[in-house]
Amino acid sequence: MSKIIELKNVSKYFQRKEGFRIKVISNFSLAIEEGEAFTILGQKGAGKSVLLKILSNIYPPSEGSVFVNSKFAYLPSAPSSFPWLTPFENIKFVAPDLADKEISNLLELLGLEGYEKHYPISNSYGFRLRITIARALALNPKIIIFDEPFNLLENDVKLEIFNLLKAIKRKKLLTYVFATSNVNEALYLSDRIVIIKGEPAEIIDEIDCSELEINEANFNNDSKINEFRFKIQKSLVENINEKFFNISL
Amino acid sequence: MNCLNIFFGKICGVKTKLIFSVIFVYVMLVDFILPPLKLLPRTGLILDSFSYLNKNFKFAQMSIIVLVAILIIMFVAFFILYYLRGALIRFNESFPEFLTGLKVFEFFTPFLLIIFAGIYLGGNTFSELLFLFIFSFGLYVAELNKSFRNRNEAYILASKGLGIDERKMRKSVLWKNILPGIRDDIGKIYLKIWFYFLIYEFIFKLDYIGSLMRSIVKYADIAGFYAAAIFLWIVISLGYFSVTRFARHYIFWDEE
Repeated sequence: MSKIIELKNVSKYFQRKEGFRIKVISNFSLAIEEGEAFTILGQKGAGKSVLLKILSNIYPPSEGSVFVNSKFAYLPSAPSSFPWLTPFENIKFVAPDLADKEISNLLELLGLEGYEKHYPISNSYGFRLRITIARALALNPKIIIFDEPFNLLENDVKLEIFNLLKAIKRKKLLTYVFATSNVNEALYLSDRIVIIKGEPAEIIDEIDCSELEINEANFNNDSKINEFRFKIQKSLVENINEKFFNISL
Repeated sequence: MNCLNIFFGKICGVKTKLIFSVIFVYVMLVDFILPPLKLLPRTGLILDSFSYLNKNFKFAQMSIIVLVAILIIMFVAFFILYYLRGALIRFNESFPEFLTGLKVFEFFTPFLLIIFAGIYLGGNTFSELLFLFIFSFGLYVAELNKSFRNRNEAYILASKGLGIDERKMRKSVLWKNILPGIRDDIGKIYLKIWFYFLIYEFIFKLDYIGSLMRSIVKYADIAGFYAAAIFLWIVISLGYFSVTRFARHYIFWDEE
């Protein structure tokens, strides 16, 4: 496998209105292999979202270099399917050259058949997220970057979408990059997890869980999976304690 | 039958019941209970005044013409806003505070514009239409500015993340994101246009409703005032209902 994404010594500053600037990411380096499901795990405000926006070319890095070796699509945390367009039109909007048949296939893949003409106005977040994923897939990317888009989903819908994403990844040989603050989400979806702490963002631990064969049935009772879960939680908790300790001082 | 139920269900809403109650109380008071009062003319007198206004000032016909003119002006101003949307949104991005200044349209600027239009363009129908057009366009732009400040960042991030170019993002995504804000206030815009139209007419005594309003004031014709106000209220409500329904039909999604 070859590197598909690489961040080298990336730092990011934001200028505040008050005149001073804050360092959100400091000297951050990272490499993601092709075909990996990679997760950045950290608490809220740790800088995960900023990292993903730098990867997606939405924010330029203040220092360092970013290398993304393939076409990508980025999904933000809030629902972003356009409510003024039907699922079919949402896809057509981002990929106008895509044939109607291919759009129908995509909608079918995401379980949206029969809903082609339904406007995503008052529908569930699951429905809207499926449209967003279909829209991303319409661009035929090699990498999909998920900036915590699962937060608003009900647990059963979340699981359904996770299984769907795993199936799509296998079928289309994609690379996934996730950001989340949820340990279970990270464990269920990833081959590799990096745990970061914020102010500024830096890696505190890296866990390779590619050897785990996680599915719905064994996720809550397999001892090896539980061991990994405990390891990740321990790493996060230690980080919280350290942060608390620093503030107390 | 079902249609009738729906129709009467809407007709007999709380507001309508209140209006009918007020009319009923008024009729009972002035026609049967109270002695003749100058400030509360009898209903027969109001109806006579309406016939008189119609005969001498073609009031009903003029009101409808004005309503149609206002609706056309609003449509043309919106059409121009639509064509300038890309540039206006871009301008908003670059100078966010500048267009916020258009809020003054809500306060004293219309009066200055009325005076300007009257003095420099002669206080005629053309200057009136021009004033109303500039005013409605200004209100639309102010609304666009307000909605732009409340835009949904997720759409922008998603568009950037999907490689949609900035021009398309402004003209399609941001514009559609802004439209519900304009829709929600289109009724207010419509009422403001009517309000300033009436002021303009009154100041410059124009042939449509201005000279009629002057006559009512000059002769302190209370029954005439009631008749004109009631009919205008009906015409304005009809326009308000049409504009808001039309906007709600075409802009069916909401801001998030």
